[in-house]
Amino acid sequence: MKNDDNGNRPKNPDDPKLTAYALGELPGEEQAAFEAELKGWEAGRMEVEEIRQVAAILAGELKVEPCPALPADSRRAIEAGLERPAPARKLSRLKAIYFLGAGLGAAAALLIAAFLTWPLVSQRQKTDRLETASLHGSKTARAPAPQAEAPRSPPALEALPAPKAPPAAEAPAAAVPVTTAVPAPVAEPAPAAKSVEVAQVFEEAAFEKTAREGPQLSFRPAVGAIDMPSNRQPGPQKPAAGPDSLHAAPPLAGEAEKAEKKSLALADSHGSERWEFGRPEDDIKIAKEPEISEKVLRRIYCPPPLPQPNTESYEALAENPFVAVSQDPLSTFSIDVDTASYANVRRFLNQNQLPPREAVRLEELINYFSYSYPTPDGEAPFAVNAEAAACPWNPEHRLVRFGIKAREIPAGRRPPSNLVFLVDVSGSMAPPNKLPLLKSALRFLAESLGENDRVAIVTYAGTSGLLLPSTSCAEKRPILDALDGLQAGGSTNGGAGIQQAYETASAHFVRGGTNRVILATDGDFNVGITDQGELVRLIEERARSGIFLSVLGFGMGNLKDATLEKLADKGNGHYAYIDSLKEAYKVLIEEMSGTLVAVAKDVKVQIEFNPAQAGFYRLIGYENRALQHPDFNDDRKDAGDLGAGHAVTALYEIVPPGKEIAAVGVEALKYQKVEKPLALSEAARSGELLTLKLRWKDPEGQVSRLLEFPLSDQGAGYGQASSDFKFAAAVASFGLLLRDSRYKGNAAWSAVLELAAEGKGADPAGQRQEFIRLVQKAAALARK
Amino acid sequence: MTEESRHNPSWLNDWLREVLEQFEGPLLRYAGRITGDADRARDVVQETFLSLVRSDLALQGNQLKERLLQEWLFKVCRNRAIDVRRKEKRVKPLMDEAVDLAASPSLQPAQILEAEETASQVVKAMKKLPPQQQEVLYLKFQNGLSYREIGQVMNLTVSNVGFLIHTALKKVRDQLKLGTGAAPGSRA
Repeated sequence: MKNDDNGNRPKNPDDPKLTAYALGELPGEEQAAFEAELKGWEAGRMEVEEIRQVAAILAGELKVEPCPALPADSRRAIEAGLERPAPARKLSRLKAIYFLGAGLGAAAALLIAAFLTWPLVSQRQKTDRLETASLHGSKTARAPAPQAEAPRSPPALEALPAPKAPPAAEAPAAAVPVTTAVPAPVAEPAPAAKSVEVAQVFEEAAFEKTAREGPQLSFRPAVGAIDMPSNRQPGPQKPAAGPDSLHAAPPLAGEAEKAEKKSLALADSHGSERWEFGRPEDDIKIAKEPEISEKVLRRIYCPPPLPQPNTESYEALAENPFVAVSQDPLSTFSIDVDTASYANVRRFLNQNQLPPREAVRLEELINYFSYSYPTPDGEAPFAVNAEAAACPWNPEHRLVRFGIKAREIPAGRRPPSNLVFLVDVSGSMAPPNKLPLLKSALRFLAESLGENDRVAIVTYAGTSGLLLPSTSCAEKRPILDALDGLQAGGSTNGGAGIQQAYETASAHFVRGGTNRVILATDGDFNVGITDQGELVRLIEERARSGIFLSVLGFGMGNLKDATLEKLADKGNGHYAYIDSLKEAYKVLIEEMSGTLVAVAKDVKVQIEFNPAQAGFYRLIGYENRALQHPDFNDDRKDAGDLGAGHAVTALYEIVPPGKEIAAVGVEALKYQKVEKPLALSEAARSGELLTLKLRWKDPEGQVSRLLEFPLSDQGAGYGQASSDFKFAAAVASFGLLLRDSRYKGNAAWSAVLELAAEGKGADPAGQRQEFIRLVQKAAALARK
Repeated sequence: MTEESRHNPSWLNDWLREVLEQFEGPLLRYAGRITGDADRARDVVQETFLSLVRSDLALQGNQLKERLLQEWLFKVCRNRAIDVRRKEKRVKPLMDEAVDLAASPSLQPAQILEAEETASQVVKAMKKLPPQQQEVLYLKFQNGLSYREIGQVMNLTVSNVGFLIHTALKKVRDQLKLGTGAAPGSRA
């Protein structure tokens, strides 16, 4: 569509700079410059989009790969490494210990080791000389920093000399249980070569006035060197390997960091190709020292095994029964795009437990997955896709599937957002699958937002507080730093925090944009009486004024699922359960334009069945979304919202006319004859099975609009159904089995697997494969 | 303990525990890929942490910037793992051989089979890459290192890293497209 700017240099679609830009790796001015270039280069922008998508998929996949763990004795050995004799003020004392230790046990070993490792040692000494040489060179640059640092870390001053000498004595002892596979030569330089290094370095340290500098000078890893001579790596050689290894390790603040970068630049300039744009120094984005203490930092989430759930509560819901079309031809419900139940069920199964029946909400299971519904191209903000085929668990019945797909919003045209994260920082949020995971999740979201978006953080835990005032996402640093500073502790009083969050959102309200409070919690409103009715009224009122509420559930043990769902419902937002980084990606990033941007508000569905074509119908799921029939036309009645790109799927099981159903018994009426002939209209002879009616409002509108679609059942057999249909049916029967539903018919685990396999299709994100794995797990558990 | 015993400030023990919790898993994953063996990976990682406690980094404790710590840990771990591989002489150095970096060494055979079957397109696509490209992808997307940090860990220039990641991503993308017939990320 757009032409490239003429007169600009040719745009290479295979430019690595595109990837660097897409991943946020370009230094400041480079990024701005490149962004300007991209404005006139649509192909480039599309590349960037694709790169980001693949990156997100990769990250989502890789980050949830389970991590192994160190065995207990390894941990003990490591912790033992921490315990060493106190730092002696007198150097000679320490030297004495050192020599004593060396002489006592290690003498023989040292001799042999020294012999064996002589070549290594001499090599290292060369490197050492190189290192110390360059050290002295850059020492002056670093001198100012330590003064500033010294007061901040008194323990370091005292403890300084300790690590060096004793490990020589320790190393053989510690090395014994440890080094089975790490062969002697590697571990060995420790006693032999180190004895030389340590003494030498130690002496140097003694001469330093400021002990702070000591650590940097004497830094050597105890066992082995960080940087063996660079003959290990083909490719660009950095002859000054020394400075690199030194600089890699110690934390240098302020000016010291600049010295580090200078040396890096020097190293880089030694004959290796330079990064085309910017100098290597620029790669390091210096964070300005955050005002808050950076104690608990971002955690990489590796799923650990978790304890049993015990204080979870779910609303027990009866299932929708079969309804006779002759008695009640209308089915009315509000759409629902929540997907929390699937994530929740997944959590149980991953811990080898069957989920409680009430935790299984079939519509949420089905809606978790992406289906290939066509996107709308007309005026309506959504398109409807319908299909009918045989019902797998009751072959004499029909299964009808509806898909409602909302319009997508291209990323560039997402309206500005004004978000307030309302974070539960109570003590119960401490475990890694709660606050740390939440922080990672919110970090992803914050990193994906742009200059048109604002973010604030409000915490609630006893004292509610504004941790971060509403800040534009053009500057991510303050936001990320504030997120880093979140710590769990204290007890929860949910009420006050919510009020503050709404006030903050109000103060920065964006007309025509997305204004939302995102509540992240494990559902525990611990301390204080929080009158739920009052809370709900507040949320509803704010939703009416345009500030919606979405809810992210974390962790378990305190998960009050029903509460969270209701709050999101009243707040016109969505409720998602985040059990992994991958899920966080899915909910917050991939679906971000959906989670945040409503394309249609108060979307209601009403279906009228034709008694000539259907005897009974049963809506699968949506039990807690049922509406009274008159509510459909009543604009004052709330319903669910549809976010951009979102899809909603609903399944009906239909019993053809003339068939009886076993389980359903309707009481004989007292005042009317049981069998009364129906008065059918002309339309009933059309052969249509049903008419689907949809009502919705524009996000800023108050009056609803109506769409109607008739559907005829072509009588397709199961084999002719689409793979999406089969897969949705598999998920539905899975849910029926998990609930042990009375309506499950012939559903069986093996059948579910078969259906799912048939319906799996391309499955680019691996969702369906994951589902199959979960079914296998459930089947195995159910057999016990 | 003699009177010279240091009373480790409790923050040091706590700090170490946090560091272990945070990095033990990722390092084991990473080391496992390089050594190809779970036991050796454990040894490598244990040695890495021992280096940490003996180094002066430990003294910085909480003052130590997490990203620098991470970079240091990965670098040390990598070098150690490569040493182990070398010494084992079972395999040629990292760059020369196409090691199946996507295999997780800690799984039992039955689990490996299951993992293979359920391995997503993404993992399969990654397995086809040359080892260096796989490694940068793991460092970038599994462990969140920046270009510069990856360069430090793998002893490459930032340009190099950028180019590797660019190429690797492109290949994965193409593989995904081949597999699904659609661009990745779109609801196919």
